[in-house]
Amino acid sequence: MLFGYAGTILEVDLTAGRIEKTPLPENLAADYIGGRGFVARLLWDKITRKTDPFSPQNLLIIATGPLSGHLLPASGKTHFGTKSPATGGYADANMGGHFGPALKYAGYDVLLLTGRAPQPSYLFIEDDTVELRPAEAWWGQGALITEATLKKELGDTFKIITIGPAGENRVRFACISHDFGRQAGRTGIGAVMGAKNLKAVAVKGTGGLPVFDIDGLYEKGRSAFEKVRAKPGFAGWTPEGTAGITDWVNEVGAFPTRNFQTSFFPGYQNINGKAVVKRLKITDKGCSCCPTPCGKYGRAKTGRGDVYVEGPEYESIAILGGDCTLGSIEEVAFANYVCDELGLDTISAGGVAAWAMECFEKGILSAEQIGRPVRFGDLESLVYLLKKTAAREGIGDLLAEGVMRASAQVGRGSESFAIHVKGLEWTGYESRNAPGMMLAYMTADVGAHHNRAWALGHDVAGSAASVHDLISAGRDSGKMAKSRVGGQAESVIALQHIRPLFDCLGVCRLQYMELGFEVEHYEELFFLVTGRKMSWDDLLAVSERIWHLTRAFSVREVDGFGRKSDYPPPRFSREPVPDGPNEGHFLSIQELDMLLDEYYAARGWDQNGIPTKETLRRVGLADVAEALARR
Amino acid sequence: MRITLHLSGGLKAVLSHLPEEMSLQLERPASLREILMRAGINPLLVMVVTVDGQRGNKDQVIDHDAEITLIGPMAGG
Repeated sequence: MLFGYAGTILEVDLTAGRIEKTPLPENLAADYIGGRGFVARLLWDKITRKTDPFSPQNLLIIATGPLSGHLLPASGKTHFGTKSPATGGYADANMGGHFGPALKYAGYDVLLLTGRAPQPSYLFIEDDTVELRPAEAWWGQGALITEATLKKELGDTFKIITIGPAGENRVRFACISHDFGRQAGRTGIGAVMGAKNLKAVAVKGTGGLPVFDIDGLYEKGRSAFEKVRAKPGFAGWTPEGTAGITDWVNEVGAFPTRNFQTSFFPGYQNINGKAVVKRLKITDKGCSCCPTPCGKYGRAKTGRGDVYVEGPEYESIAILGGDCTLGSIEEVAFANYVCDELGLDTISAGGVAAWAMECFEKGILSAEQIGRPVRFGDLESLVYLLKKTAAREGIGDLLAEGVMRASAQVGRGSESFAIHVKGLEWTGYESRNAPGMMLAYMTADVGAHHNRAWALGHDVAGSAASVHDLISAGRDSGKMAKSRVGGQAESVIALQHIRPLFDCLGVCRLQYMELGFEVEHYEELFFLVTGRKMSWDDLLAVSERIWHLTRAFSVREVDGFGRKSDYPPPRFSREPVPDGPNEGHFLSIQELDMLLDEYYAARGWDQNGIPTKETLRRVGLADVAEALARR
Repeated sequence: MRITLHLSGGLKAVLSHLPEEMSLQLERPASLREILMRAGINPLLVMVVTVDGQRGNKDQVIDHDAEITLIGPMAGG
């Protein structure tokens, strides 16, 4: 008996309509825990080498963790994985809400989708009943309206994921939506779902889950919930949620502004967490069993009409607000809503739009080519670009490819300000004076994403502006000192093991990362649920194994993958930040190389960033070492 | 004046050399920035402060016994 897990993998071949249920292998649970670990191993094992991400042979995997769905804090997380249409390599995305728990209550730890449905369809799951049903009526509809319509038809007890027109049209950064504002946002997961002709998955589960010590878990789960809410940071952090970081990111000069031309947005106080609370928020919104609801559901009134929207959370504020320089939180919320309904990842969509605006500003793309002038700070320009992109109409067909491919096609120097790594657009932290954060972006397995290792705090702590320097200088703000480069690899690697571990367990990391909920609680909860004694270090060792595996997957799948895949865009190594707290700073190519050299050595990878045979064997991936040697 | 500083999760990770709770004795009113520097904490590392449970700011002058919680930077979204 596998305690904690539902015990079954549900595999659906959408081409043939074949449904297969197989027992969850015990060694998969033992060696990879769940969630992200399941995604990584199943992708490695089951995807045929060099599979086209949009082909029926690609997989879309939805995986829960052993803690998902249990009565313990923030157990509502669900993990998605595929071969990315954005990067061609390993891809995953993590989503809050209620879908994963419902999938487990229906009896499934993993939903593995392959093939392509002959016509637009949705997958209906109610406990043992699994059916592929027609969805022509919703094809072309928005992600939010589709969820609302399906809920009306099936009942509110069904938990639903949907895609919008962007997913249907294979926009390479389309997302999967859930619960009217939660997304598996990154890496083009929604485009793969669209390529499978799958509009939605609706699941209802009424079963229970086997727990090793149910009485112990009940007591521990309840006390853990209370302990999280008693943390000293709870009252200060929860009211604004992630949007509360906006002021600080500007204070330290890391806020993406005008397509990352600079790192400080003078209008940030119009789009910060206080603005969300004061001008938008109706209610807090949390995921399953969440003690710290960071979602802010609200109403935005703009000249284009009123919309109800969850958020904006920080990343959407940074990229739609700062990077496209919108003037008010209402405008940011409106753009957020447009993305949600179209099924676009707000981060990549905002990044692509900002790139197009800069192309127009520099005369690289004309109004005739774009269809109209598009300018920073103009909501109409942004909404125009978003709609064209989702529909792949006109200029949108180019933008739907993402900034890496679009800039390669447009040329004329636009590659230098196509802000991405590996083909995935950059998230909300400008890092020209943050070497740890820069290294984290460079080496994140999915591309330029912050949630593998968020090292900006370490950068600020370790900057030359130490507290002693500040005291002697009699100040603590204004211009940032140039950060020291070197010595960042260790903390970045540690973070790359910690943060993704939560995506394996199936719980949210915010209680640990932001409020300091201690690791001992997770060790105990894991034992009470699964009956397996694993220390935090044991769990981190699994996370390290997964890190090497996802790297190996991209080495196997992407031609020429290696060191050159890890560099940031030329802007960050050639253009000093023009103004703000980090004015004058940038990281030279030599400094970037120093970061990579240190990192590869610490990881046990060769100079080209390829995991060595010895390293793979050390972490229990001898078969992967053999496969890479044969490629 | 007796000032008690509590470090939240994010800050504990970054300032691992400091205890989770610290007490300071102040002889005169001081801004939170000054208090933080005296405690050996770079004010730039503090994202949010609460003073006696109420949201405060780093320029706020503290002139009485106070319980101050320091919330460090965090990743969003």
